[in-house]
Amino acid sequence: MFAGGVGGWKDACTYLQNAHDLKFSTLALEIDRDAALAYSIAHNVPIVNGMKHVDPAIASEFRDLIVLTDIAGDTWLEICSAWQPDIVVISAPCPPWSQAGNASGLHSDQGQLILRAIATCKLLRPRAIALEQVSAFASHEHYKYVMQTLRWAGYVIHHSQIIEASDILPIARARWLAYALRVQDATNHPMPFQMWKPEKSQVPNTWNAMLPEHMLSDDKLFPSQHVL
Amino acid sequence: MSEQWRDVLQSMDFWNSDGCSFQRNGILVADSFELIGGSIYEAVAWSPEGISSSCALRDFLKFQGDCKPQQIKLIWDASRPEPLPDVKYILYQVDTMPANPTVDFEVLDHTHTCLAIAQIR
Repeated sequence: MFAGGVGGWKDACTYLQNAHDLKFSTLALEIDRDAALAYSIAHNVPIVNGMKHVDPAIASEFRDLIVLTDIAGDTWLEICSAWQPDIVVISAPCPPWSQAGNASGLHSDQGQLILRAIATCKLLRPRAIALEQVSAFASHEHYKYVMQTLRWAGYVIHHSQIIEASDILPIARARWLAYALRVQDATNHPMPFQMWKPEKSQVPNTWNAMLPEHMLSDDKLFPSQHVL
Repeated sequence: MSEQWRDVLQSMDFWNSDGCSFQRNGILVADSFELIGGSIYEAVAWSPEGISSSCALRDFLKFQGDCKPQQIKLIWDASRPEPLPDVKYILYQVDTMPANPTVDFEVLDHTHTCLAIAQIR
């Protein structure tokens, strides 16, 4: 849910698929058309219009899919149910939780999306829920309500941690990560959580993240005249 | 804040869960559908897993599995595929106040925004 244009969770699945030979079938949900299109192109998956009811039969036709839809609606519920997800991942919008924003939390419609997302897990009954949010989320006054909503839906957090991306990437980006397991699933066996190991000397070129010189002439990379 | 939180929880309250709030279009967990005539089915409704909104709001976070089955009668929309007998369904936005006094629920998605969600495990 809230797949975004980059699709970090999809990248994680691809990594696990390649490195550990695990098989994944992914259904992504995103409300922003440009972001959904970017995801579709980046991961080479079909895009489906989920602004109206989506035929659940589509679920059996594709291995991976992105649905352009509003999580707060219900047009995507049937296809998601037909998909029978083992894991639901939730990267709800971060502005309501960020200290860089107004930290409105559940007072804003955008902040309530995390509750909506968890609530639909009560319908879909995945075995596990993985969550990602800005680091300030864990200290927000509404954090406890989100945790209680998880329990209300039948899930218990088994691990949560604030991780600092600079341990492995050349950026400073602290994030709260957690996973919750469905209480009534007897086949769920909690395992110790293993975070990635910090690397040394991470610079942009380590990840080939520097644009080559011939791409630097793009006008969009420079401030427009009215700003200068 | 608790009002917004309560509204979200109550909008997803399952019919028959301990302390659930009444919803005109609620969520019903049912299986073992058996056609008893016309488009009327007899089925087994479950007190579903998870926690009801009122218990969550009162910090009474006691878990239970699907339990306490009870027989119900419901009208099933003829345009939908027939319910499979060995599948448990979560019926989303089922009409809990049917016009027909001989049934308990209605699943009529041509008049309501109903979704029948096949379930699963």
